[in-house]
Amino acid sequence: MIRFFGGLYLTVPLLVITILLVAAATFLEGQTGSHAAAEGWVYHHPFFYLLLGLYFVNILFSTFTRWPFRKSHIPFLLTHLGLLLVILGVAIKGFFGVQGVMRLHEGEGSHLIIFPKTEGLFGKNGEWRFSFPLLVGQSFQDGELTYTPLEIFPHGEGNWSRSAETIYMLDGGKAGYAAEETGKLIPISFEATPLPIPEKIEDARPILHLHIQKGDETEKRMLLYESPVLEPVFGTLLKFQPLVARAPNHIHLHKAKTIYRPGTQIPESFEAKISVDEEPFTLLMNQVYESKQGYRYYLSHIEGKAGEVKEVQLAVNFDPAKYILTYPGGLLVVLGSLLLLFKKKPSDYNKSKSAI
Amino acid sequence: MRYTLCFLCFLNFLSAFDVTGREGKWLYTLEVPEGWETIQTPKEVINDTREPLITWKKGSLEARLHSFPYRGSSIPAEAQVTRWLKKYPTEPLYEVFETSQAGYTGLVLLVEANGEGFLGAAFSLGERGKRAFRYHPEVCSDWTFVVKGTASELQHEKTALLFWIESLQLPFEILHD
Repeated sequence: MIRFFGGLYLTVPLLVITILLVAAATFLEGQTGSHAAAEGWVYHHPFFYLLLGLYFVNILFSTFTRWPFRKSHIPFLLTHLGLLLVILGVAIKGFFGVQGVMRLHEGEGSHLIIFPKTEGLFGKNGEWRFSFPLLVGQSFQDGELTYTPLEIFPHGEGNWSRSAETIYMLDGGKAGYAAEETGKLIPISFEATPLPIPEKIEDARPILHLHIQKGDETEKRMLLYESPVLEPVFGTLLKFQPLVARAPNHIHLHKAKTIYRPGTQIPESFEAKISVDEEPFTLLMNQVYESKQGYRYYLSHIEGKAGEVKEVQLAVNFDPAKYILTYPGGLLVVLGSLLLLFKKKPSDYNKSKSAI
Repeated sequence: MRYTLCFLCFLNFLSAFDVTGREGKWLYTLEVPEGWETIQTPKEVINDTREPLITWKKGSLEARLHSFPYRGSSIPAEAQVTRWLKKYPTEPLYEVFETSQAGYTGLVLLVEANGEGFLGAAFSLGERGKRAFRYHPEVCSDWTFVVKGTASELQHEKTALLFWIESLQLPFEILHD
């Protein structure tokens, strides 16, 4: 048992499968131009996590095949212990870590982390209330309203068909109402149509088919993901968008700029002046801010031309195991590998003995 | 890295400053570089937009901050730049660039003519800001920051002045939607 799980019979197939999967993911990403496709089919697939688990078992058991340990095993043990810590750190980060984004315009502040590609329903009747992740067929109640997601179409488009006779949408469409020429307010209603999934998964905009019940009254709506306008149902504004969480830090964006190569329009660098809990900091392309709580903020994207109010996307990352598992694990791997490199080979021992 | 160091070094000689608005309400916050003497306009309510909210002096240089009440539309920054350039009888040597900060968008003009220097910045609040402060029009005022003096002194202070302009912001955040 220990011989199989700790031996090459498991290591070699694991390595071969991993190499094939990574090659396939690289090919898939190259063909579709979509990193999300590679993530969905390979890197974030349960099978890939199973492989990681098997690596852990393989390394653990192979360590015990050396029992009883001797002084000469130290480099081998350090390398294997380091690898185990790294894999454990990756697993803890996957389950308990945070990986999201923050989107801010110049002059704005926020403490909300958005988790792209997740799907949640948000309702506003006074204050915004956040929903749990959506599960098709599973109802949930919020006040007097009961929501039942009937279906989530992977891609579609939405149209506001009555723009011709409206003067303007109140609050840019975010108030849920538009004003007609007569002055009458009409609730915004989107007509969303499901479409085939685009080749690049990142371009897909899901549609939620939602059933809403209030007492004996019922309504059905097709909500477009991250729609620029909001729809009111029974007096409640509804948003179908990524899930959000509260970050421990408040980020304020003062200014963002793209620095171009002199005399060209080729971007050379990006810069964002932010305040984290009122402490000023300048984020550069490869300069990260790490807060006291261990949250790391990276500058990932700047949108807007010169002379426009810029929108910045910050990548937010929290890895609870970084300092206790992953980094020490990496150090142990390096140390163990160096010791293995300079360790005397058995032939060296023989030479020394014969010299004596 | 060099930009951060430059910015951090600069912060060492900046001091926070709050400016009272045209209607007598505290409106802007900015970082004044060291060595500038503040001359407060001796009025609580300033009705004439030609009068500055506040003036600063350093050597031959004089910096003035003006605000222009918002009445449903902004004064385009291009109009302010054209007005400033018209003051020069002959076409001067000048540079204009677009910029944005703290929810504002605008233009910065640098002029050099006959040994005299001029720096003018004209800013208006962007659409998101105007929407967020629609019930507080005094916050939506346009503002200009003008510095005049000898060309050599202005050139010497140019980086500090640009950081000074960059530091101007409202004392509260635009609501994130």
